[in-house]
Amino acid sequence: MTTVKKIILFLFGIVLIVFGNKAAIDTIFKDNDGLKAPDSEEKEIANKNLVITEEVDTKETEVITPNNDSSSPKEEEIKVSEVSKKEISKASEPKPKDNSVKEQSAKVAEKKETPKVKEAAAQTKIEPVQEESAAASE
Amino acid sequence: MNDGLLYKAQVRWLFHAHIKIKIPVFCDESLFDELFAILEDVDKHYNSYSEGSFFDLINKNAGHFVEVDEETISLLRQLIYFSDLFDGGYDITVMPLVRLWGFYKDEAPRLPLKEEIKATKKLVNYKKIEIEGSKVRIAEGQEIITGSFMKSYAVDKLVQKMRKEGITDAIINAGGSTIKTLNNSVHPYWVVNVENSLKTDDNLFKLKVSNACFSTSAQTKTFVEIGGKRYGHIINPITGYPSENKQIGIISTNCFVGDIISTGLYNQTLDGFTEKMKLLSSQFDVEGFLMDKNNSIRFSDGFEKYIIQ
Repeated sequence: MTTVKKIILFLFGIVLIVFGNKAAIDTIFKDNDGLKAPDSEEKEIANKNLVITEEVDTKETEVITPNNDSSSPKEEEIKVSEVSKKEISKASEPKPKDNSVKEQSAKVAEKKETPKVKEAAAQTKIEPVQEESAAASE
Repeated sequence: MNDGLLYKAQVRWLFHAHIKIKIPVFCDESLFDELFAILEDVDKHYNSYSEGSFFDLINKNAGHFVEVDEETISLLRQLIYFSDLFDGGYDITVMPLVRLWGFYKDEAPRLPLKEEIKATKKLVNYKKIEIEGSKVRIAEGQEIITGSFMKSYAVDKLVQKMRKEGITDAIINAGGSTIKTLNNSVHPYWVVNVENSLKTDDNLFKLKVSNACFSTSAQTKTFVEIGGKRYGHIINPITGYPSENKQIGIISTNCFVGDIISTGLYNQTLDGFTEKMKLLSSQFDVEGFLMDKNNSIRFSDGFEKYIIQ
């Protein structure tokens, strides 16, 4: 081998080492980036959600707080957020609604039953000697 | 008390109240229909709240004579007699004042102006009830309210029927405010629990009621609230203002008399109550108590003998 060939091979080796290392470094770092990418998207979405929630709270606070005073006590903000949480939680819970409907229908039923007492209260009970209560309630 | 006795009991809704009739267990169940029919008849023909009743017609034709039956005339004459006895402290033409204070109205009650009370009081006067033969006329703007006596009048008629049927042991609880007892030697008295109108689940005392009626009036359940203050439904016809007394109880042989006295004396002071009871007990078999606005209780002279606890 001539000296020139040796020099060319040496340079080629250096190029290989340099690019090889870069590739290795890229691979390592790019892999990490590659892993991070989906996480960061989710986190970003989550962060966006958090930001959105906070913005909503802030807006509600601003609306409710008298004079839009930035120095208004934090307690009020907490209360607002609590109210909004309660509202959300109530809205997300259908069961109480069902109960309220049941209660309403029960009340209606009670009202409807009242005339029945007049018309069909022919239920005879057998009773022993009992005290009768006197109260001007009706 | 004979604890071994058994009764049949039925409750029906009449006169805006639960009416309970309790008769001996050997009575035929079909008797209830006959007994309640008597109450229904009174409710239909004589209750001022019943559309088409004689008192309803008198009210709707205020200023004009209205043909009524003998029973209405008889009732009116008795009521006028009691109004005289109470010097106007009891007056069945008090309805305009009752309405002025916000009762029987849909809109929110308000405190009437003194001028309004003064003007309305002019309409309240039982002496303006005119009776000519079988015709009755009240003055224009007047209105009769039968709430103070109609239920008890019906119970008296019911008791007459029960006695005719041979029932000598029974109790009628008309909405808690009128309780009539029938007794015999086997079951000499019924025990009536007098609830404290100021406290729930608390009793003032227990009474031994034998062949008599216990009538009670209180304002704790029937009132209008104006400016945070409660005003009861028993209006003093003389002052035009609701009475501030708390509770009254009257024991009498006749429910009609007992209920009228219970309303008539509700507006009295404690001394006025004592004085009036002395006068009334000379004519009727009545005893009772009054709890005034300061929660002080005054008994009539012979009331304590009825208290068993």
